[in-house]
Amino acid sequence: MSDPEYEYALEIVDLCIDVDKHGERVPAVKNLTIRVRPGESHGLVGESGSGKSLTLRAVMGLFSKGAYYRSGYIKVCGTEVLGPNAPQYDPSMRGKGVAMAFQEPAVALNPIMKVGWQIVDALREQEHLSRAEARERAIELMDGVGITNPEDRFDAYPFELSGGMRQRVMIAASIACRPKVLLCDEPTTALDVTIQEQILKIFRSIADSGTALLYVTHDLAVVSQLCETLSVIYHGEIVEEGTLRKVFDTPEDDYTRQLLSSTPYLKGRMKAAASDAAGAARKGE
Amino acid sequence: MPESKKIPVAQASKDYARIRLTGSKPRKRSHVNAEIVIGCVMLGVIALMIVFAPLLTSYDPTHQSLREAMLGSSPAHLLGTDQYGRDIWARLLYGGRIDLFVAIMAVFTPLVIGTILGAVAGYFDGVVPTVIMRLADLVSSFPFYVLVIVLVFVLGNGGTSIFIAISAVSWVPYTRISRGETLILRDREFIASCKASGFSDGWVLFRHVIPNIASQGIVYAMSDIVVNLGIIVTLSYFGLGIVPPTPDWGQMMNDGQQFLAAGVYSLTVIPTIVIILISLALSFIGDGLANVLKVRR
Amino acid sequence: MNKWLYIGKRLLLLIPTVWGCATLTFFLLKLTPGDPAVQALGPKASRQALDALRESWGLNDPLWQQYLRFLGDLCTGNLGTSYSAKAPVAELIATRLPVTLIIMVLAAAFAVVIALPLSVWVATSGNRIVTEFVRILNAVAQGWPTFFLGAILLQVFAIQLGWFPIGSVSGGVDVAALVLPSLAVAVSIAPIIIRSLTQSLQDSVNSEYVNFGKAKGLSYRKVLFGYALRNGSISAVSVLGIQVGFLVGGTLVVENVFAVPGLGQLLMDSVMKRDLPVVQTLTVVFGVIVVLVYLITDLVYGALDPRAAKRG
Repeated sequence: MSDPEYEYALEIVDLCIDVDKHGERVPAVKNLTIRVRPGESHGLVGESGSGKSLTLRAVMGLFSKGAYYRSGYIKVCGTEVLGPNAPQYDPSMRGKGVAMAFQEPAVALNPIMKVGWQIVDALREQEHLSRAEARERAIELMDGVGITNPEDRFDAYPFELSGGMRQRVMIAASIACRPKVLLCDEPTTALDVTIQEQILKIFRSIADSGTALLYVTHDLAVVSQLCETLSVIYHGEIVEEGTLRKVFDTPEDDYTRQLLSSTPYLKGRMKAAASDAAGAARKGE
Repeated sequence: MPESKKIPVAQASKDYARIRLTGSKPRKRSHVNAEIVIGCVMLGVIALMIVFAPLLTSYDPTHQSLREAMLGSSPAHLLGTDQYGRDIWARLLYGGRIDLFVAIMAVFTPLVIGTILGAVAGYFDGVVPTVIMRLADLVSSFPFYVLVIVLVFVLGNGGTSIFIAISAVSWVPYTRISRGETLILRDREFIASCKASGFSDGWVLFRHVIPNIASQGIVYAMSDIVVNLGIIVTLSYFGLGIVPPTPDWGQMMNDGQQFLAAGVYSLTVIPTIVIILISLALSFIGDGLANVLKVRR
Repeated sequence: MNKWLYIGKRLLLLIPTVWGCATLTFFLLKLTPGDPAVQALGPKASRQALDALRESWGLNDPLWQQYLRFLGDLCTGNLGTSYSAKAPVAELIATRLPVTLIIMVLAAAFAVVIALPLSVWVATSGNRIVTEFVRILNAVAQGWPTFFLGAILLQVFAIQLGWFPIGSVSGGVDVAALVLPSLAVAVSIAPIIIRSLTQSLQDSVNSEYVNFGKAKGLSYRKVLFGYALRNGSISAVSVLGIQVGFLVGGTLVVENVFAVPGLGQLLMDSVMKRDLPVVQTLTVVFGVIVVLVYLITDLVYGALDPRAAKRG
């Protein structure tokens, strides 16, 4: 990484988000702080409803109805996209600054648009490429995320692809403009285990190329394969944070312990990880 | 571990307990919202005025008096008179009687028949459902207006003919809606468990299936009343509907149309406003019901 | 190609549908009270003349023979003679069909032009006042009788302002005279389109693929038009197809208000004059129009939504 003028690619500080619940506005994310350096991959772990997806959507400025920003700020590459200076969300960082891989490619890809064009349109809009250039780049990207026969698949519709292929297309589309930050909202939940391994490998290489990764999941096993640092979120609050080893070996919070004990096969993995500081799983590339 | 951080597992069993087994016991939630109230008040006022027409006017809506033709609004004639000297206010009130009555009856009948046919078509397999759905396809391959007009041609003019004609055509959407809902419901477990418990098909159909599928048809019926009112008035306007001297809004509009050129709008505009108000009221009720019953329109 | 095979198959399937329409029409109209011969010749006709006419029309034959003859005549295009106009029915219909089709197409186009901006407005504003405003507009348009809207448009824009010609010039079809009638029909069917288009646009605007489009960094315009509107309009197409009955109904009404010589005016005229052969044939023709529109809708839908093509 050449010296960026910012230390953190993604900086979420003291973020508070409220949601409407039974007609009342209640806090859903409370003073959440996460900082991710370029090239670092950070896991955000919590159960459903803990506010982790809400946090990601705040970074993207994709609040659904009934969710409101209250305080704190979010900076992408040093630019405040949401905060006191940008209370309405500044979309200028989308695409090149920050992108997001969604949980369900089956609904996140436009069902009536050829998948290739869903990569191309981002390239044309952001990088101002010609049709032919964009197409070429899109095919390269598809190839890069492990889509075989990208020229043929370019003209396929999402429903004609398997779940794994769809997820690859979505990753290709989200990294098309080489974002500095990639948010991942449980992108492997809908996939079976072998495909999940392959997809995680792709994310690993994206992080290695200098992109900051914020990976949201409820699955500690995934985090142990992918991330260097993690935060545990419970009821909208970060209850634990630190490096993978620190959190896994010496958890301080009850909820974290509960989570760890509910993922028994991690124990073996952690021993392997402990013997290899870089993390055994990452080497499998 | 602290009690507060336990993952709530009790929630699932609570939800399970709330699952409703039949449509007969309403859930505890509000059945009324502002839209329904507004719509019902509007419709109720109009309906009451029509029902109690004799209390609101002393004029005979068919009484002609050429000496009093084309009068403007006055204490004696609230809305004036038409070219035959008939009181417009009286004609408006009495005219609504047959129009609204036929419109509502011609929704109620297809709603009942169509819902039952659709439930039967969705619940059973075999020849009867096929015949029902083929017939529905056949009827829906004619434009609504054309078939109604042809039926009126066959049956002759008048309220009864219009009622039969509309009913004979407009059962189709109710049948489609109710069949679709029944097909979804049929695979649900409580229907299977009813069958397994040895209840007869008829009992399951009327006691469990139809109460559960009726709501969507009812919501659809609200806008259907407006459609019916439109076609009744239209037919009367063209002289194919309600037979004079029975007063109705379509004839009123036809009578008044020749005076549009002369700048006299009241004869035609007044019945139109009433019809639009009814349409508005029913649209409120329909949207409100759709919200309360959780039905997509 | 596959597509042509599909269209061919669908066209072939039209045959039983048209047969069904014809059968229903035939037996329905057999229920008509009164003697067609008397209708044709008038009440003062002599007994001999009536008998001769009955014999030549085959009214004394058994019902099934009459039915088969009716089907045979339909197939060969021998549609009989109008009682009132004393002209071949086929000719009457052929000269009027284009007028009706033009009104239908114009009305559908106008309806889309009216419905599209309003639906987009409601779906994107998220403002309660806008929603209520359009809802009331909808209810007013739906309640407003088409014939009266037609009458007012005629009065204001054709007679008083003179912007449009009145009626159709005999001999040719004057499209300018069809604008106001089409507009009246469009207003009456627009609410149906607005309702469904708003619903599907709202679904589309709040959908995950629109979110993903935004996340990719696409501009608001691109996301709205390229994603939300394109996807949302698919269902509007099918609604427009299903509502073709109302399109035809509206056309029928306005033709009579504007005295436009189309099929609707012919139908209403023939019903008033109790002209059985014309009513009979027209009913079948209207049925065929609707079925053809269903077919076109399906094809357009298939072209817009790749998933539909897959389903067959």
